[in-house]
Amino acid sequence: MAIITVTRNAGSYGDQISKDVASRLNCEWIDHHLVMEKFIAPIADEQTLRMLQSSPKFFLSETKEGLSFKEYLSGALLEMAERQDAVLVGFAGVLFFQHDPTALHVRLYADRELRVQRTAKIMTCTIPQATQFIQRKDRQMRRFASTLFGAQEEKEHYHVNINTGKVTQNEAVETIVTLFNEMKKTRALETKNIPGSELHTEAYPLLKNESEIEFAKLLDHYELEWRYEPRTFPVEWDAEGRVTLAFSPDFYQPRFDLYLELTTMNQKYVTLKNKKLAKLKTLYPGVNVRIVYKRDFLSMMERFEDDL
Amino acid sequence: MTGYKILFDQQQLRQRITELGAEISAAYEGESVVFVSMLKGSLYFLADLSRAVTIEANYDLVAVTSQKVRMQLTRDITLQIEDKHVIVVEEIVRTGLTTNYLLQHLETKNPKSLQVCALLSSPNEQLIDLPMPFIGFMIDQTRVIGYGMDYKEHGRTLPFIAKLDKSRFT
Repeated sequence: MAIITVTRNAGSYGDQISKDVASRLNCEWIDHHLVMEKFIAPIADEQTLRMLQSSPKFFLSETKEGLSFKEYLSGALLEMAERQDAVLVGFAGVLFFQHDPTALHVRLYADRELRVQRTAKIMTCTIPQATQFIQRKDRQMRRFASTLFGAQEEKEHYHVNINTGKVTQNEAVETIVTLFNEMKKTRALETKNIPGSELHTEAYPLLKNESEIEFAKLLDHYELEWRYEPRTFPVEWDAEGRVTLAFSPDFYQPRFDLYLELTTMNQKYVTLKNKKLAKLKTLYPGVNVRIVYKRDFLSMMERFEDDL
Repeated sequence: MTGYKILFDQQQLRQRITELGAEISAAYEGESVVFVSMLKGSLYFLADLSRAVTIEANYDLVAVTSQKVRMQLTRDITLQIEDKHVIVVEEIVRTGLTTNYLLQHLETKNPKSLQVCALLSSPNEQLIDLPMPFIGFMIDQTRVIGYGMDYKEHGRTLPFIAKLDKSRFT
């Protein structure tokens, strides 16, 4: 399970966007009020609750369990993340989950003037009142983060920073949902271990040539999910055990657990590729690789163009 | 209609489709199936195949436009196929990408089973595995027209399947 943390300045439409994301992903939306209600209220009396609401410094005070409220809350949030997907808005979520590799951290912001205008409209108040409100909220955010974590929420903490003055709410929602789903698929790929092979989890290499780009477009056209060279399979070693020949098949199809290796090169290179493929099949019998030869590829692209 | 290199004539098509009908009827004995096809190429095959089965059957159609970036479904099936046996009827399967696109779409409707019946199959070109237990004829990479299959809308109504000769249409 995984968490999306959303940091939003007042007036950046953060609540609406994050609620829409939660709705699209069919998961729980949790804001400050829900955090207090779900996790803190069961272990704090009313007076303590009021104190926690009034100042973040009380989160560093001890609960009856011997932990600080911050530590208790951290544990409760991590436990929740193990059980379910959720969208956590505010509450310095990015810092609570900063070491969670499965969490997606999103920051929603907008130009200050725009935020003031939006706030004035929503709250039906004057511009000076809206400005004061924004300033107070921004200060509270910074104070909460620095009190609990001795740090601020920085741009580098986030996977994605979205300026809601530059994109529509739908575009922001779509971006977050798509990224979250892609991250989940990548994690699913990572958990499927193939002993001896090397998994590439950093940004994949760029497609190497025009044919690969065209083939990738073809797969996209038919909405067939693919990953480019996600694994390297060593197939030959020297006497010292160093890898002397390896194979990184091109397009992995998660739906079919299948690699498609494109070859549009001259015969002498195809021979080497066939040799690598034969060795791979022997060393990694569970791995499915199919070679797409030049003639087949050209025929495919010709038909594809004719059909458009 | 002259001058075509015929690969499968009307009698061959009729006979093989009758056999396919019998295979499907045997495989789904006592059950009912829904045939789903993509317009327009498979129309003739769908019409003849659906009449060649002896089990209870229905059919529905989807339509797609092939835009540059993505395929787009322009007509979805209207029948409810949840918990039903569905057979995707294809006139030809080459790479399997088009068929898979349809299968991915139909899977979201939770059919009881989902199989493919192809009149023509080119296994050497197939990129991905499909659940395709019913195949009429195996072919190679030769491009074909006729019996619903076209080249830029030419040749669809030919009653046989012939090798495509592009020069005929340019």
